[in-house]
Amino acid sequence: MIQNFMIGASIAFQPLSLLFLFFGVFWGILGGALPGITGSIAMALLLPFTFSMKPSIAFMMLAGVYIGAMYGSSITAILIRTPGAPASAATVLDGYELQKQGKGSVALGISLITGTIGGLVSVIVLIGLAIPLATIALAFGPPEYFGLTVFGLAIISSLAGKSIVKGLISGVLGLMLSTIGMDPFSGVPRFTYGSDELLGGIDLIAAMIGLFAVSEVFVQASEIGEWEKIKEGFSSKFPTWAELKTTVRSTILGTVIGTIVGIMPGAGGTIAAFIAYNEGKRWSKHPEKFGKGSLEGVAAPESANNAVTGGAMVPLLAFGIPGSNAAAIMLGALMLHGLRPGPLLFQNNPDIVYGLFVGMIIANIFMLIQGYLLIKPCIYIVNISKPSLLASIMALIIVGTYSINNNINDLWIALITGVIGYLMRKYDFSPSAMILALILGFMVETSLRRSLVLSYGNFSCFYTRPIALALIILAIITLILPIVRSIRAARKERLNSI
Amino acid sequence: MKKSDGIIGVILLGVAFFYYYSTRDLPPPSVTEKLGASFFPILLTITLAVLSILLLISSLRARNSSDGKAAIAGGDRLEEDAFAAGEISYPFLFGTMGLSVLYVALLNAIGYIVSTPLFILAMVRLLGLKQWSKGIAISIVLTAVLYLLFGKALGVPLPAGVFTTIWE
Repeated sequence: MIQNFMIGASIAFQPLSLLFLFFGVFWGILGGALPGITGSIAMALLLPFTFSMKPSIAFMMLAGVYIGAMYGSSITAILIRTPGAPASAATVLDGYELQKQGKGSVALGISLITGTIGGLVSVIVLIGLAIPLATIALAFGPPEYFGLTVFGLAIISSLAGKSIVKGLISGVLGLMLSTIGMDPFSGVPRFTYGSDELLGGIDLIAAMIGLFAVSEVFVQASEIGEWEKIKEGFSSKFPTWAELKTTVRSTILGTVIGTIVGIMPGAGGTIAAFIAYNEGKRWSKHPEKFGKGSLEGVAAPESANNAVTGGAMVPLLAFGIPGSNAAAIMLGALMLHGLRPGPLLFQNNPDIVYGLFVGMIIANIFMLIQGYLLIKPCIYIVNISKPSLLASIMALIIVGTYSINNNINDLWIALITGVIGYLMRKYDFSPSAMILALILGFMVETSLRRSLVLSYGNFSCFYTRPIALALIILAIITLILPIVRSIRAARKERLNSI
Repeated sequence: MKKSDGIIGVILLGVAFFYYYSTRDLPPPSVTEKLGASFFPILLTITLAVLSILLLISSLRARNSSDGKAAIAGGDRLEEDAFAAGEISYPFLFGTMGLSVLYVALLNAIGYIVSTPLFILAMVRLLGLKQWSKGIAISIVLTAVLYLLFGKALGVPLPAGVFTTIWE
């Protein structure tokens, strides 16, 4: 194992890796700060560039973008009350109050330092969890993988939508998309309607760019008005040691909450940040200051959303199951190179997995350095004009998507999925659940059918193997629990109305 | 919102039916492979149909109690799915969609170098940039940057369009 870490470190400390990692973190901070580009959109826009890179370097660079974006989104949240990404929505509550009091840079500093702490701790948890879990997963056969993927899908769809029915519909639509193309078992084309372009299935990367990035451009364009500009004065004071010490408690809370929430498929930085804010308030010595410019109110959500980054990699690396958009994009980057994350990657490509571990630690340190240097130039990032930014993003999306396969058809897929993503978001469905289901759909179907081939068509393989059975039962509970709850809530309401 | 749910339910039922109809040509399961190519799709169709009917029923009941409250974590949406519920400008929205479609459609015909600055200029004007000079500057600089980055540095064969002959 120490040998593997040596391999990882030797990859991550190569000058080229450090350069791309540095750029990745910078791009992440920039993308995170710009309203309209979230961390996963910034990652998706970089995907075309990763094609010509070594997979290990591409993988750690994307993680760097993810990490940088979690800090970047707090910049606009604090300075102009517009979170660069929803993960920093909770930061607005106290961050903008601090900015109004002329302490915007102090809030940024707290966000940066506590975020770095959250990020570093979560990488250590990731290393501690992913390696043993992957060892266990090595013994998994198709029935266990079937149980695992169905369980993952159940959590994602039940968390995804505003209503469980809409979340599930989003998931099922994604599964349906995954069946388009050549059937992996019999080789017959399914749902291609005679088109040769569809034989290979829906291009995952084009669909991700469409559902995440194109739909976001549409949403932003449809909103009337410019973004806000910085109003109050801006000093570049950094937090003092005494100020930092007041946030210790909420940083610990945020880090723990963020890491745990990050591991759960379907829950991301947004949910983690809000839970951390509430818990930070509850456990604080000065809860009355929350909402009025409390430094703890910045530290709790910002340490939490950075701590999500390590947690989110656990299911991806150990089982090959992406639980968030960011993880889905990282999976997409490996697939461009014909690789898949999962327990076998630990054995066959230790450079990728252990390179990522070391790379994520370096990325957090890069974030601290760049964040510190960027505190002053932040003002210029924030005051960018909306029309120019949206036009630039769209132009970058088009040329980037084209360059994946040098194919105009991918552009049409990106535009069509962009419109679908816009409509889904408008009517409270979940494009994220759809993408994750599109990725997992292939795994669900093949593991199901492979199980039955191996057991000569006997369904007993799903209930005689304890791990498979336990996972399937967990999946069923996950799906049924919210339905039971909603029926109960409805009954209660009816009783109350009488 | 509830009325739109009903319409969406009907559309999704249609999708489920169309998808089911398309599974009929798939070959039957073989001896070695019990489920065959059509089992999973049919399972999905049935699930979608049931869920669409649930959506339809809940919309017809039009109860004020939103079932979303029951979802875990207070019905928060996933990170990327948030939708700003501000005032929607349909000219901006359809304009952006239309320009993007036009851009992609013209890419092969007139080439990357010509269509890109036109697209960027049209977009910034549509979305409210007042000064022509600024718009033209942005469109030329951005096209040059993207062309050098993708066309030259990454070696992507960008559509040359009308310039094919001059290029080669």
